[in-house]
Amino acid sequence: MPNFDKEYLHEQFLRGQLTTEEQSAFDKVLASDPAFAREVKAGELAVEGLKSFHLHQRIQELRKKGQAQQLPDQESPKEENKKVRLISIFRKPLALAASFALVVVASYFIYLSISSQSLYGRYNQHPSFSVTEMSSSQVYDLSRAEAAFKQGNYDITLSELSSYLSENPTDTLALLFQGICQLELDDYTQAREIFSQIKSGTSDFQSLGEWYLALSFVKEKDFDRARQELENISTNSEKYTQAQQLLNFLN
Amino acid sequence: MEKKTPLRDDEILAGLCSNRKLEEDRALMEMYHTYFGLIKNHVLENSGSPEDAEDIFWVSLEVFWNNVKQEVFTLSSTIKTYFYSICKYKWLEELRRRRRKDDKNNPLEKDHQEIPADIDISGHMMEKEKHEWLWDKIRMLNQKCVDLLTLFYVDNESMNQIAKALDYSGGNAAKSAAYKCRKQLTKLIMEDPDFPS
Repeated sequence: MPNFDKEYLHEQFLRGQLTTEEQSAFDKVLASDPAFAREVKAGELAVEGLKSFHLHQRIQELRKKGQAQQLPDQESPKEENKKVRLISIFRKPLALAASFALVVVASYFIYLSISSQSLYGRYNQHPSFSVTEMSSSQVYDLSRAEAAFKQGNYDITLSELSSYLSENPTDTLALLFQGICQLELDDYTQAREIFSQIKSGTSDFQSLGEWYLALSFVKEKDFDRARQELENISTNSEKYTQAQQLLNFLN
Repeated sequence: MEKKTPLRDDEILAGLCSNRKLEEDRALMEMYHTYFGLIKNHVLENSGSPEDAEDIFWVSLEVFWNNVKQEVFTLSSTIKTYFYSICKYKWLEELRRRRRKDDKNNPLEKDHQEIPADIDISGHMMEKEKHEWLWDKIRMLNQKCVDLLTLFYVDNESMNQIAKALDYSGGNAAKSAAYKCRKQLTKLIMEDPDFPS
């Protein structure tokens, strides 16, 4: 039996691509090396986590899309009663040209919409909503806000946060989450006001303020402004690598 | 105008397991159009609000999708029966959670018994706590690592394709980065006291 590299076997196992021969070599290593077996178990969990994380994000993305489009519960019955007049466009060159132009324009806007949405969706990995860090006061229980934020219920998070923020208007982290919720709800003006305020401050979250300000333009498809903001993110920022990556996509 | 033909159960399952975004989205939206009304009625009739119905629908859809993607998954009933059972179970779970919080009577005790006994949900339910525990670790990685690992382990993309997509100098550079990212993630998992020794 060939002598397989342990790491190679581990990788093949995680991708579900072990051959029969590799599988038997892998089983032997697992049986003889408990530390490796432990690492393989952690690797398995990591892949399981990545798969469920990916599904979770896709569902959230779809849900947001559904809310934005006001999806109907079921197909409208009125749909069936609509009468459609078919016009032979080949007999009408003008109609043909107009239809073609319409298709091109519509495709362009659909492309813009899909690309910016997926681009934003790729980068809107929000920080964990940390209640313990935020609620220094005993009076406020932000667990509902936390749960709502986790589930993508940004309007509920906003309302839960508002009373806390009225008492703690200088809590920058809470402000940041308020801005994120507003961004998710497409309230760009309010969101940008907050991100700009955080960006120009001296808190630990300054770089997140810069980053989210740029993301707000990505989401609104204002790619020129997004580029400008991303280019201003300095190499010291924790978001520098992502900003460069996003710039590459935009360029 | 020709009306779109609804997808059959086997077509929905095939779409959900296709690993192709377009087909997955079509199957998921089919689920929405077909079953959201049903779930909404159930939640509204059992002390819930339209917002609760939305939450329960999407959470259950995530559970359903996770389950059908498991290699060992077999559907022993129709999608409607199975999915409806998940939703009822999730709504019941939520009501119980609220009852514990409010210490008030829960009107759904009776309803729980209406879940068909031959539908085994518990075995297929997403292990929510475990996943959230894992997601916390994943969120500690930088975004490029998450993208890289997702493309490699979830989408099964080749290293050369990943290198192009994520701007690495080549397949080997992407491979080496993936190795480091995986090591970083497994380390975070192993160092957690909740990781079984």
